[in-house]
Amino acid sequence: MSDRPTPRAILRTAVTPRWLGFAVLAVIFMIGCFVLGRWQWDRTQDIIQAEQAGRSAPRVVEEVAKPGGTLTNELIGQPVIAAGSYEPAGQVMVLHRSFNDQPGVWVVTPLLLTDGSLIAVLRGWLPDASAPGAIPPAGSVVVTGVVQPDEGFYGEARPDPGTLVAISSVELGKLWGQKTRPGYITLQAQQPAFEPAPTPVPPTVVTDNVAFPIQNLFYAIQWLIFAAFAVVVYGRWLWRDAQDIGAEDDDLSTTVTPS
Amino acid sequence: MEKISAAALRYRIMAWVTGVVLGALTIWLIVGYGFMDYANTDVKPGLYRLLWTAHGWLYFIYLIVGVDLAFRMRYSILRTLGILIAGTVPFMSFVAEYFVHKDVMAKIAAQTVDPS
Repeated sequence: MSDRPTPRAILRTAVTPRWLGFAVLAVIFMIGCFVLGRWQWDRTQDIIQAEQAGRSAPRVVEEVAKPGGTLTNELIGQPVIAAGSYEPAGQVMVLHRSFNDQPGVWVVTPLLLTDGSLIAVLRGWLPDASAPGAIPPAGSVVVTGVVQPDEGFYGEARPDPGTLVAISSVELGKLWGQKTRPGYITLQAQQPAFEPAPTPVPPTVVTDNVAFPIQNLFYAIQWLIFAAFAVVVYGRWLWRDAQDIGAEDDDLSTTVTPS
Repeated sequence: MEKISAAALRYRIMAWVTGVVLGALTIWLIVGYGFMDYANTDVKPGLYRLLWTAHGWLYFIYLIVGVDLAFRMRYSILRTLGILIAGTVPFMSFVAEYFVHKDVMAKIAAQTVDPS
């Protein structure tokens, strides 16, 4: 029973329908492992790159948020500078946003860039939609801020005209009827400053101060190990069945494994 | 036989360790995301992340000792896979361990009575 199986016995076992089935399963499993490992590896890269972007010098928004595209993960948290003028007609209030435990709204105003495209700017928080500071300054401004991804849910909800419950550049683009860049800018500073103004809020997604994505990196490694494991299990069990066949030698009946 | 009972003990330990860690993390996840706003990463404690990472490696050890025991017990490949996958489902490793333990005991008893 514990003799070395001959290569012929191993081969004969491997081509039985049962073992061909296991081989197919093992390959599917390994492909799955590679896909999942790749995904975790990409997440690791995204987090590291987003951290680098978050710490890098501000870039002009035109380079970062390209119209028609989507904001790539590694650019979330990138500091940007946007030069243009506010379009007061397109301004919307995002409802139910508290700041320092005070209820209020977020003020989102389209900024018309020099190339004629719009980018949503989250100018800040106000206690209510008619508080002083709601009206954006006229004329040219330079906004410094951080690029943020669209908020995921309820982007299309509009409780009242001029109000939203979430920031979605896609929905804002439909509302404004003009070419709108993906994501939005959380305003941190504006030149020239204008008073009264909404209180700037911290960015929702912060990437410049995150822990090293050790969990994702380890998962990426573990998926590869699992893939290797499939080979070990397949090989060892095939070997054992081949031993049983070898012991029976010319007996071609299927192996019954006692358990 | 001694080798099998040693392998069974190793498997038993790992089934309990991974099972307890995974069970605790599952409850923690439900409480954390359901009631404590863990979707906002700032409030997620470091220990929570660390335990998930630790569970990944514990499960890896579970795989090794599980395969070792299954091979010694001459389990079929499907039964082996069942035991291995049980380690990923919360609280299932206890169930798998219960049946494997019963099976190992029966095998050892049979071998002691009737040495062949």
